[in-house]
Amino acid sequence: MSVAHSVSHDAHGDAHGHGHEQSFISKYVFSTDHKVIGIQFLVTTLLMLMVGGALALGVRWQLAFPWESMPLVGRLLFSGEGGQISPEFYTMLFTMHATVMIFLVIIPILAGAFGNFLIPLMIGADDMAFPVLNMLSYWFMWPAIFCFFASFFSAGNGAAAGWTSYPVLSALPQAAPASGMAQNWWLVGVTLVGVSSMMGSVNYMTTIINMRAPGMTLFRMPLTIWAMFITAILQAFALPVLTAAGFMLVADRLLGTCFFIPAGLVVNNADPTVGGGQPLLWQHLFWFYSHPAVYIMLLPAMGMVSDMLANAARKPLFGYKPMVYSMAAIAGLGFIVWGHHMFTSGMNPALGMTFMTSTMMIALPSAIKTFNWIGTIWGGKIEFNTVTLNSVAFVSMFVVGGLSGIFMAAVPVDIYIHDTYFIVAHFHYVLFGATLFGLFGAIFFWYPKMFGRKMNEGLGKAHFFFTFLGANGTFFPMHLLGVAGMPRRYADPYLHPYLEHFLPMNQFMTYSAILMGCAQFLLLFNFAYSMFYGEKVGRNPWKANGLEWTAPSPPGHGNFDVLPVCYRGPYEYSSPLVEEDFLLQTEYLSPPDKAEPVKEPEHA
Amino acid sequence: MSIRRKSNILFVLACGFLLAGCDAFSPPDAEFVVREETDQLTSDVSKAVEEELESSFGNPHQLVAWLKLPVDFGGVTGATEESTLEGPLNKFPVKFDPEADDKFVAQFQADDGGFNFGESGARLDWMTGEYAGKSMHVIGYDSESQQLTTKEKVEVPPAAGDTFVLSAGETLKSGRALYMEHCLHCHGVSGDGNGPTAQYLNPRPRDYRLGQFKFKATKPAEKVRQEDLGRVIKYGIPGTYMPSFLLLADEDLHAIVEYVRWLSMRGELEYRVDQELVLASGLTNEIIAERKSDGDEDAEIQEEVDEAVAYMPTMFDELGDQLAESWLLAEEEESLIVPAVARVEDSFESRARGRKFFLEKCTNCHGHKGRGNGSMTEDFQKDEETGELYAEPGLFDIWGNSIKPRNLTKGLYRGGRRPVDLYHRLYGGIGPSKMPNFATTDPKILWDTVNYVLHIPFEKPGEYTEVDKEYFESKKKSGGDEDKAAEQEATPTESEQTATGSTESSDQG
Amino acid sequence: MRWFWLTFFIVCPIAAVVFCVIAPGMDWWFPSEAGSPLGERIDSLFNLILYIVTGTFIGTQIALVYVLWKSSKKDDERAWFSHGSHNLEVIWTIVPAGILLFIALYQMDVWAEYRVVSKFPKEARKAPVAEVMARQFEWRIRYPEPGRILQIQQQPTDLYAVNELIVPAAKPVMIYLKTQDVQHSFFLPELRVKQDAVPGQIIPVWFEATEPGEYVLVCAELCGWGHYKMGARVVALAEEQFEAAMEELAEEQSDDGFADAGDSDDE
Repeated sequence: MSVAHSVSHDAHGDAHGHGHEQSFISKYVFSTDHKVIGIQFLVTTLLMLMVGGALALGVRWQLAFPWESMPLVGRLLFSGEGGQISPEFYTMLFTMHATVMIFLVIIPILAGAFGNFLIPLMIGADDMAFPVLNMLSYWFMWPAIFCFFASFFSAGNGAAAGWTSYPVLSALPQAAPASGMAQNWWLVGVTLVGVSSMMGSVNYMTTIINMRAPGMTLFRMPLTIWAMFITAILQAFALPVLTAAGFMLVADRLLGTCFFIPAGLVVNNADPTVGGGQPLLWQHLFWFYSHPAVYIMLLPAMGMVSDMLANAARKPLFGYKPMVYSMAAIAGLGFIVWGHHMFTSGMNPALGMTFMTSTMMIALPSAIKTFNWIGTIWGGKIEFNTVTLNSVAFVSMFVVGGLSGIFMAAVPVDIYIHDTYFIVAHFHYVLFGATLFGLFGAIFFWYPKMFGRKMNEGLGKAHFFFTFLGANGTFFPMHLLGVAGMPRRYADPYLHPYLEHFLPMNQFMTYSAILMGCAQFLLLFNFAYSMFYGEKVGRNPWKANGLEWTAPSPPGHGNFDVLPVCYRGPYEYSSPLVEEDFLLQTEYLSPPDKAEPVKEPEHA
Repeated sequence: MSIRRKSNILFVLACGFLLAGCDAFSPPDAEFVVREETDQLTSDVSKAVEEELESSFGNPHQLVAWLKLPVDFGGVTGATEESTLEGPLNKFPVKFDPEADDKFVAQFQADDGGFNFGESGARLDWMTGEYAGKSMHVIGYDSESQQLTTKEKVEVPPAAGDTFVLSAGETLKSGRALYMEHCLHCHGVSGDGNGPTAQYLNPRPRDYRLGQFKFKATKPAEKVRQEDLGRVIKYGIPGTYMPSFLLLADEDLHAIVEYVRWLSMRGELEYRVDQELVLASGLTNEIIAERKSDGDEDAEIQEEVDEAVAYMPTMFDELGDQLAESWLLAEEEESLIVPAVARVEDSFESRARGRKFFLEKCTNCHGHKGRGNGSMTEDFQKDEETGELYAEPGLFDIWGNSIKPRNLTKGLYRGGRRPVDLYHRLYGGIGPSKMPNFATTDPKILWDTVNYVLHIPFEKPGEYTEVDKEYFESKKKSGGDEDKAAEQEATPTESEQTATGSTESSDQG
Repeated sequence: MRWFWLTFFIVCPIAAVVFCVIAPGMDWWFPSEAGSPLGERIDSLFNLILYIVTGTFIGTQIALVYVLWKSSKKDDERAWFSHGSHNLEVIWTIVPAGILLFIALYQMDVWAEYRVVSKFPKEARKAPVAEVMARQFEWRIRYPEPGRILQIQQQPTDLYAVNELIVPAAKPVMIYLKTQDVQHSFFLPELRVKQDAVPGQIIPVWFEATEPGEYVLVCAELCGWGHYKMGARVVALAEEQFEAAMEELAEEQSDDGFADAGDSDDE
């Protein structure tokens, strides 16, 4: 690791302490260095990815082999019944799968891992605006993880009201076995994750606004930074609503309030509820956060893929400003579409019309971005390596996910497909097909910067190949299941004759899921192995333009040798001004009076 | 360490992990639960009980059809025809029972028109005649001569008209599979009402192992009928977590009913065996230890133990016979509760009579307004089995669960809401809940009470004030014990007089 | 490897399209033709969107693979130094916007007809056929006595059933949807009807079964461990048969078990 001190160090203040002799604990455990925190997030979330994936495999097992003994779980928890799981266990499986994936994997890996690692490096800062807050944001994840794990050991084996946790099911302990302690743990866990995210988002916004290197105007920032910035704004405005709702639900459960509990309900032969509340209120509050949340889970990947594609194609990003405006539009519109999760919920029908219109409109910026990605590759010089493959898969599968969303936006059609597997197909395509593939690409792309070594290409391609096949094999048939009217969250759909003939298809999907799950071990192995045995690389193995590629690999404390100064945008690949096909943002070129007049690009 | 070394170690570790994990991946075997009392028996005896249970009923993966029991195990029934062949032989001309013909074809006919009985042949159990109680294995069938071929050869051919069951157990197996899918997680593998979900339910799922069920149409002392169980499964028990399985196909429903009965018989058999061995013979570890400390000879005790073990098969046989008899009796006409008169026309007068009967007989549990808050719900009751008071006030069923008398103002009738259903509850009582039966009451009065009960949810405040007054006055006159408090309760309070109705909109069914 | 990956990226979308084309033939499609008039309109809307989306999908995937093909050619040319095209941006903003707005506006009336109570067919609104009360884990039905109008409050003459809703066919019918405990959802896949049952609310739902027949009713909102068990059926009968069924139900419900199966009084 380079020990050079950056010139900006003093200007930054003594947040790092007076000396650079740090103990192991403060260097690697409670570090305030954004790079270490980023890597901590990355490793933690990759582990959580395996947990979430295992839970999903449990779901898939039950759907493919209903009521047969489940591996591991059957022997551990249900040996008396011959290994057959109980229905309430199944409700826990899909609830915790979604919870872990959303709150402990996707959101932290995008914002916590990559946001943390990349933001200061890409804008030329030596660390975040609030390093200690940053460190806390990571360490708040662990109490959250502890809470979720505690819920696994409570009655019911974990929260089981769906990750959407609708009352009255989640509000009344007698409504479901896991709506006792487990649900309480879940709510606390979600709150803690929210706190962690808030800390992060405050940090990112401040850093991006205040700590950009000289010359780095807003419209010279890479799209990754734009995405992180917009995501942070989304987090900041939406999270408080979820936290408030969570508190209200906890109050209903533990303090006897009735925010969400109407009167006169008789559940499990308990006394009728006293009530006065409205279950729909939770849905509004929850989705007010959770819809922006899905854009939180998408935008950073979109930003990173834009950077990776421009680099891969060796040409500028097609339509930089439209891309930025589209992301802003997605975020802005994202706040007024939450009702599309509630079309059949019994809310005022007039809202159905307004939400349908805004939801249709939000498809537009996503479409624009897709065309711009294709435009970025158009006329480029691309090579099929792991980064490229994953980025292209992002675009390809995002198209599927985005287009299937249009069906749901159409309210009458949504009457039919709401709460069926069509919805499950849609969000898995955008979350797995888009975000996760984007993440795989990003891991490969920025790994050299993190660890000074490249990940193995062969393993990377193999991982991509099997994951792509497995993902499509698992999630594409879900569209058909949804059209056939198979509802979500069913432990045994084959009870119903109209769904009986889908058993073979579900088995095929389970085998694909198992393939996909096993393929992830290739990634994990590659990640761990390459840290010690990967090909060593220099500062700029991908010949990219961003500021991060001027720092050593890995960057030392303080990131840069000298304060970077930014002269241009990040996408000047194949510029006629220089011979190489890339042009660093920090590279100073003498005035072009002697150079050939350059044909003005149509859109800067 | 070289890379090669490292990868070798990794390989070995991976193998070890896999091998260790293999066991975790193999499915565990479900097992029938052993009663607490059986466990308390001294080890030789309890082992003998378990072994005998296993041989008569099998385990959940290998069911045994004990043909003595009146369960439709399924299978193809038929009888032998006159045979001209001489022994030793293994071919028997047979004729299947009419309904069984299609079953036989469906089960055994192969695609090429021949018949396939599997590798070890299909089990044939002789019911009557020379070989009654014995089994053979059918390995072939000739449709022209209508002759079955068995693996085993016999000297003397079975006489004409000897009945048999081929491949007994199909219905039971199907019942088991369906039970696993639909019922197991609440009712448990053994029908003990203790599946994984049971602990969260109120009221708890039925424990079949005492052979008693709450909602039946048979006389108080009789067992439940197949039809009653079928009704419960089909229509559910409103107000509980027993849902309606209306969409089950009829054969599936039948198979489940038979399996439930079989589980119940198994459980009750174990229960009765335990009663014998504990109460009559005193062969528990505790009692034996006491006796030893009292100075009883080891050898003497061992002799008793050996005797009990030797007697076990016979005891099972005898108890099995008794069980079979009681279950068969329940299906007889004479066990069914049939009202002696048609329902009395529903009118205020009829309901008034019913109200008087209610005041006389029902208010201790059901409360004076039928809200299920009678005085017995607040007193400590005595457990008949142990002779001691229950730890908590209120009523308990025979399984030891705390229960509440029905709140009749809700219009929720767990055993069914037809007039005949309510009649059955009154006439037959609900044994397991300790609701007394009124079999000796005038059927007209029972109908009056039915009319009254059905009307309780729609009662207007003050509707029966006069009736109640009359009743209490007549009681005073006859010198009966009047309960001033009861009288007070029966008159409506001011707030009730202004209330619009006592129906709560939350329950129906 | 170039050709391998190019093939890979075009074969997968082709497989997806093929899969969808053969799906109806393999019975991997709607459970049946829409059994209700509104259902038919939903299906035609679905198909319209399907065509638009499929066209877009094919176009986009072909464009993607095409640009990949062109760009992955190994030659000495430099990449095209373009920062974008204003005209293209305008085109591919306006055209999709137009299409999306069209889809949105095209179906507003279907939604209104489905959900706005004042737009429900009058005959259905005046005489709801039943109250459907969802509970964990079954559907409890309450009919009015033949000849009476269903009241919100239970009446002594009401008829009850469980897991089987009988309605007249070929005319609009309305039910009151309630729940006793948690949220459920009244989902008739074949009739394309869905409405969540919200605790504390009574929600009117109308539909019309075009043909007599049996239709599936399942629960479509997570309601606990038995969510998947809540399978029931809706039986649509021709008018006279419907009336006969109601009479039969009334008789059954007043069954007094008396041996003479004569007229039993019910009131």
